[in-house]
Amino acid sequence: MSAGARKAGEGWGALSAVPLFAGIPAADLERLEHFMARFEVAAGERLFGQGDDASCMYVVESGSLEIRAELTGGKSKALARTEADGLLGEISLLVGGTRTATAVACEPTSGWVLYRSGFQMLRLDGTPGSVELMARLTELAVKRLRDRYEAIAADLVSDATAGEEVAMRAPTVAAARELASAEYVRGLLCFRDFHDDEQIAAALGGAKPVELERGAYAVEPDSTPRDLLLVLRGALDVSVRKGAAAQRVRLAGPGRFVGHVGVLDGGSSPVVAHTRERVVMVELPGERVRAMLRDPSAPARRFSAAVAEDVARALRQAERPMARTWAASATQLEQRRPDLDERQRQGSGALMLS
Amino acid sequence: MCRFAAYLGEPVLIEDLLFEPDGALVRQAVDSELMTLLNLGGFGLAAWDRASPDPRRPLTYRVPTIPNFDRNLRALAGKVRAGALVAHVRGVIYDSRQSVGLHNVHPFVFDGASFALAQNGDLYDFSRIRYDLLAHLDPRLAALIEGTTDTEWVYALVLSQLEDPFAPVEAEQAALAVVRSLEILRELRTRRGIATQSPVNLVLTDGTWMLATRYAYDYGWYPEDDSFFAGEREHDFTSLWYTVGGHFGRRDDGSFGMADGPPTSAVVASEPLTKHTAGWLEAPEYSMLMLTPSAGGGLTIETRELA
Repeated sequence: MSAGARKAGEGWGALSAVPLFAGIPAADLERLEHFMARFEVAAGERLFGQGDDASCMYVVESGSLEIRAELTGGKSKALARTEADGLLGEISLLVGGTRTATAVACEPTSGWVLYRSGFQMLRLDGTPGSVELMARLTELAVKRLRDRYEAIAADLVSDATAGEEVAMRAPTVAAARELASAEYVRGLLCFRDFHDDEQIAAALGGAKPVELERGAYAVEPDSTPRDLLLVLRGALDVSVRKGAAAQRVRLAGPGRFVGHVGVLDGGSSPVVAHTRERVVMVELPGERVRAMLRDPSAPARRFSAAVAEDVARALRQAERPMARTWAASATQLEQRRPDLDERQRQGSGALMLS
Repeated sequence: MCRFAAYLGEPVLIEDLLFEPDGALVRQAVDSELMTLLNLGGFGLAAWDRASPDPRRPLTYRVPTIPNFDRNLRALAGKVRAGALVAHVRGVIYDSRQSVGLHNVHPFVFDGASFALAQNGDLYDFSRIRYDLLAHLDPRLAALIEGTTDTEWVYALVLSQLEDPFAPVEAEQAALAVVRSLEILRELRTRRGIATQSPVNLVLTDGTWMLATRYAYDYGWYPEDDSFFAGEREHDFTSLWYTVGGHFGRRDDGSFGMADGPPTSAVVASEPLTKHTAGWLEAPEYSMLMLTPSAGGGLTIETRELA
């Protein structure tokens, strides 16, 4: 990849042509331009590779790129194509990590790179434009997450041997000893950027911790969640289900949210969540969470940024290359033995990768 | 906490797993990507060579020091090929109360037992259930325990679930023994009121099959003390990765990875052995990987959910 010279105004001009940035005040876009650079890649050249550090977004002005997933054994699989005026890697503006796919130019391709550091600086200023941009990015990430969950569901083959029985149990108010101390809450991943306990309290709005025992639903199948759940202790197992088949898309431990898709976009939940361990969590009313997305106050901005980061993390988790599993308690192993024998006889013990 | 790397497949030069890749196991002793603790508590390996005399018995090498300065290991690794291997660098909290010595170095291989076991984990408050475990151990195995780690007890517990712990065992039987052992540990922890996060990533191999768990009790219930684990948040569900392909080694471009081809070789490790992680798969949380030889000469890999 080569970087070309930049003329003043060119960068934000390119941004304003992209729907994500449409209507954002020119002053905000001009500030972003200081954190932009040109890129050019020749046909067949990689713009970025799967596993590379993800610290920027790309705006494609001309040409096209193919997005490929690199699989084991040196194989790869085409996932999508990005044409002129398309965006690549916008989730990288929300959270770091590594690229989940490789982008290869199909023809000579050029455009703009926007680095996360610039976006983060704009976000911290809290201008109306930056609040709006952050809200749009969050909504875009939620849409991507819903699309990803639905794609996983589409790939799931109903399997009568998979899945497990989960009961719906009423949550109880967490016992006093389980209530998280201010010090504990401050240490949670989602509150790392908060300055003081008052900001955390303002963001949580007095929500009370509730407790669920191991093996209970927190988000039921085919439901529209009303509350965003924040795990304080324990873990929620978030999975996509189709019939009796299931694939875990996230294990949400302390400091992680559950229910973004549904609460933030108002649709039904494409996932179910059950308690993998005993859980203490808080339920944050969806209406309040949605309002905070465009609230310019400092606690709301920090909270919204934490939610946005978590959506991006959930998306990364849902995109990680991972095998599907089938249950294997001692009893199930005993029951499963005839199945295994049958498969071995048929010689169908193929590699089980998803 | 520790790091391990295990291999099953076409014979590979040991240094291609331990030293050469940019994220090789020996490098992880002091430069791990997915944890912050240094792994300074010793190094061990068990390796199987099908062409060697008594091929079911592994070559073992264990030292209570860090492997980065070990010229003997470096020289050995550059000359020996293995069709199966499990190697481990031991991470212990920086505290003089920790017991560091040869007796606590993984992998464990009891005399006469057919498989080796290493762990990347830590059973919180293990001392409170240690002697409860005796009721579940074959006395012959209990007598072989020399060290103080939870891992050696877990090894004895898994072996004790087998009909004959000193006879060759199929992968399916070993998998059942692991699942039963995890259930016993959960019962004992519950009985003693231990409800603090405790990872149990095990790897077991007899040189022909391999099992590896990515598992934790009470995930998300951090210790309420000032221990290392109380502050470890980012990488809090201990990782397990694997890659599968035709052969693990140096590619034409100089990088390390799996060659394209039918699945005849697999590397299973606490974290990828290469900084560039394309081609590596993350094992799901609460799962067990099971690698067995397939009829056609390659490997069959299954991923099973653990309760």
